[in-house]
Amino acid sequence: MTVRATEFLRRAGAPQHSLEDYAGCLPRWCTGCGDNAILAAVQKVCREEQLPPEKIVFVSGIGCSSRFPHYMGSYGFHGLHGRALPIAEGIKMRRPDLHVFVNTGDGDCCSIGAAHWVHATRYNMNMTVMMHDNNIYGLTKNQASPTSPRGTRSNTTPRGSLLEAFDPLQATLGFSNLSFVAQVPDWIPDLLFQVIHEAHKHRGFSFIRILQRCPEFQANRWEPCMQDPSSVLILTHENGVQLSPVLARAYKNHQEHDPADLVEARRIVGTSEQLPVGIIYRNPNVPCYEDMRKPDRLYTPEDVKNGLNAELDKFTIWPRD
Amino acid sequence: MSVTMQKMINFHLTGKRGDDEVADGPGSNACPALLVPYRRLSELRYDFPLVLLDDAASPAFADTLSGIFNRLIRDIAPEGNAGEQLRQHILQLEKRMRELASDGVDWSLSKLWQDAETSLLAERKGPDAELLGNSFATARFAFNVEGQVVNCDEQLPARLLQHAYKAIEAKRAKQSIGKIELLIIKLRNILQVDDRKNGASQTPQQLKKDVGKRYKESFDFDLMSEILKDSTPGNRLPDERRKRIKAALAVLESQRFFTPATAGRNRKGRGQYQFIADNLSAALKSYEERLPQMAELIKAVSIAELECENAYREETHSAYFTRFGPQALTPEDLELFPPYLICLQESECNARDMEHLMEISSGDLPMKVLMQVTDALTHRSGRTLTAPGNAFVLQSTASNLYRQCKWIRKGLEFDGPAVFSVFAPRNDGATELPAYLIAAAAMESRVFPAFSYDPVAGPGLADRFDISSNPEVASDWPTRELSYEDQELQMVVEESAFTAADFAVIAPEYCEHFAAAPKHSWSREMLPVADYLKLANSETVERVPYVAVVDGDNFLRRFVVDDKLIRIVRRCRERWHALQELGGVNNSYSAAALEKVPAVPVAPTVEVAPPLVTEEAASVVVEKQEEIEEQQPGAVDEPYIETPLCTTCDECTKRNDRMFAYDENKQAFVKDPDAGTYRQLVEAAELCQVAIIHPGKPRNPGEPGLDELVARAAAFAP
Repeated sequence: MTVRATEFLRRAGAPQHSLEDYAGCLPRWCTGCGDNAILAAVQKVCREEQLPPEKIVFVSGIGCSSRFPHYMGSYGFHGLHGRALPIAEGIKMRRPDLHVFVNTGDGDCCSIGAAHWVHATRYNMNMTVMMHDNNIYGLTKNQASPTSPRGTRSNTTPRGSLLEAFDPLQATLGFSNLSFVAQVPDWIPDLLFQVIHEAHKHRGFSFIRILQRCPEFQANRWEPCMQDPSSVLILTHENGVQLSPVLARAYKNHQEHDPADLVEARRIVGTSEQLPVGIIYRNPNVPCYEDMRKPDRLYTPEDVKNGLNAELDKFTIWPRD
Repeated sequence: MSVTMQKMINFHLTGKRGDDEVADGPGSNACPALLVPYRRLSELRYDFPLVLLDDAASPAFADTLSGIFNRLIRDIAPEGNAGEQLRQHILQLEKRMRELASDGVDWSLSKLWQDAETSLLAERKGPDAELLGNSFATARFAFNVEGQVVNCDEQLPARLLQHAYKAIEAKRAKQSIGKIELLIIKLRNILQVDDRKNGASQTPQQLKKDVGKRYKESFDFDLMSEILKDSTPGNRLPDERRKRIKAALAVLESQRFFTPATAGRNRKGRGQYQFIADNLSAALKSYEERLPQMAELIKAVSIAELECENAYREETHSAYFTRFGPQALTPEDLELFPPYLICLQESECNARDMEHLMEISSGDLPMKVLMQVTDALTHRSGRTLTAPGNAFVLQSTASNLYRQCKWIRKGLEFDGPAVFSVFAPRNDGATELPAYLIAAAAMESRVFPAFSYDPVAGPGLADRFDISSNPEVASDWPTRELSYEDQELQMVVEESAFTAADFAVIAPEYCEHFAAAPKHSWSREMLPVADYLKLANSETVERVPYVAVVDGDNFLRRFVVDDKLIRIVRRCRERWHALQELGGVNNSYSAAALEKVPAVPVAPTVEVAPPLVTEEAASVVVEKQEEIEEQQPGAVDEPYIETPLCTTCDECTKRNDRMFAYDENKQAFVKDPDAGTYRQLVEAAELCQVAIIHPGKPRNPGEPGLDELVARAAAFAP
């Protein structure tokens, strides 16, 4: 039940939010860090949707990316390493009216928080998850992460890492109850904005792997892709991202891809020689866990009090009079 | 011309039977020849009986008995020989249930199963009975459907629609009452918090009461009261706001449109409003009377929503809500309330009712009207409903209602008026044929064709109007094969059309329009009605139309049709043509437009000359052209940034924040090229990871090291 009068009066009296309304503390990321681009794109999405800042919450774990909540002028929760997703799920379960965003890194998400990531995907709660993938632990000054390419020299792998890099996209396309997967580089601002915008509009667990530049410890990681636009394959679709004329001139390599096609999504991610970017998979029909767990009836404060008392009474040792 | 033929022509023209060989009409056991294979319905698996499902969570609100048993068999009986015995036993049970259900008694599915099972087992003895019992036990274990069993009869349309309405409205009401009760809790919380600030809860007596008897000696409540009073916040709710919240709360608590989720909670003693009626005027009257309460409730919900968000602004909102009344209600507001379901019998409707029906179907009142028709040949409502308006319209016969469940749901969920016109024959025993067969014949014979009109299905009639559920939509009449044995016991098969006259044979009130033609008088001058209607007026002289009928002794007979009934049949055909046009079949406008299109001559095949420029070369030219166009601004002397491609990395702005700045999209541009040196411009271009800074030409010729800087800047020339 939504009353039209309320909508009208809300809009009539509501302040128009500008980019500054979504800005928090001054970012302290390194100059040239891709996180700055992600921050700008997210703030633009909030402005585009005119989200009330008091209705937004950013949740993060630990790492460079996880400083994100400090830089947003909204509610935030800077959590524990790898635990951003369960915290976000708790928030969404209790306050489904809030717009929940999660910022996590490749180490935070794919290593210590990997199990939470698998199950958060399966739970499909309505939130936007941005995995800032710079292929390195940056905050702790240069240690190899699960997504570091084989041979990466770092403080923990001085002779070069031995293992093949973990592919978060291939992994997530294998998870159950998948609802939204996208990949986007931080250095194409128009595309970054579109993907985060679409992810936010999608009702469900929207997972975005953002290829993020780290000028300090992985300075050359994405250099070839930035210098050679033909190495990037932009996936377009009427239900995905669309190319602006400027982007179409700069990036000649684009392909029509229906995000509803999971088999094709897996094929593209698994076999493409170029870097596929855009919305890879989207299924709006997967039910959200918070909807499934919604109680059938409304609990009044009295109901809650009585229920709690009944539970606590089970453990009460009544003193002898 | 024979004497008998002359008598038949006389009957056809006058409608008066003689008292000799052309004297009989079809009796109550007569059946149109094409319907004969379906006379014993309980032996056939078809759409009835229907089960009105009890499960409110199920997406379907009704299912057929045969559909339910098909799924049961699929679930428990293995394919092939292994499951054959179980399949046979379950099908026997289904058949017995169908026979029992045809007696017109109200059955629940479980009771029907139980009685059918008992009666079948009573007929068997020994190992047979044991095997049958085992099969039934297996099936019963897997069977989890319950509901009311209904047949195709006069009560079906109202029962089915009311059942569907209740299932759909229960979901809508659940959402609405959930919202209202949540608002009540939130408003009460606001008041409760404010109440706690008035000091009453911090008096020593209240504190003592709150702590309870057990620990009353453990505390100094006077001291506790002093401490708590000092720490109580003093900012109370303004009186005006408190009054407003209380007023909204009172309206929400006393609303009568939705049943509270918990019985007895938040009730002020008055009963809920009813929304199912059998009188159009009364429904319209109660709608008018309830409008002020609807406006009050909408206003209270809106105030509560704003108050809960602390978004109520007295200076602007109060003036709006003071003026808010029934006239301010929008169709979107009305959608939040249950619509009215009015079940009417067309035969009992007067001119005033028909006027109300037109008013409803052309407006946006939240009314769902079931207009049940019992005389299909002369019904009034269907004709008026074919005029496209704002209302959702579904016309169907009772026999076809299950197939129209999708449209019934659409109509009931449609945000506006909906009219369901349904033909269900009376259970008056005037004919021996089952009601299902009569209703099916009405649709088959174009007497009561099915159609739907969905005003929101698309912009044009082609999207909104649908007649596809009728048989052979492109023809005047559907045709079927009629097979019988002739006098020499040879099988004869001929194509026969099923017309409105065939339907009239089983409508007792039209019996007088038929007269039996003696077998010896059958001749080429007797034509089936469909063929007779194709003749020009001049060709009908000395010819008579007939219908093929099978009597109670299974003999094929011909009955001459009088001219009055032929005129009714013609009108049915004309109405069907009008429906065809609306449904995009044999559309006269399209045909006229096609005639106006000049014939396109077929071009002779010519050899196509190879293109002067290959596709690859052409694409290169286009790319080059685009590059030239990009460079056209020619701002090569002035420094600039390709702002849309800026990634907000802070490199340039940190180098010189007076020279470089961010725009409203937080993307960089050259704010003041003179606010720094050419060196800074070049270095910023070199640092930019996406290489979108173009330093242009030096602005200060006296800047040291220019030659080297210009050489470095050349790499960033556009």
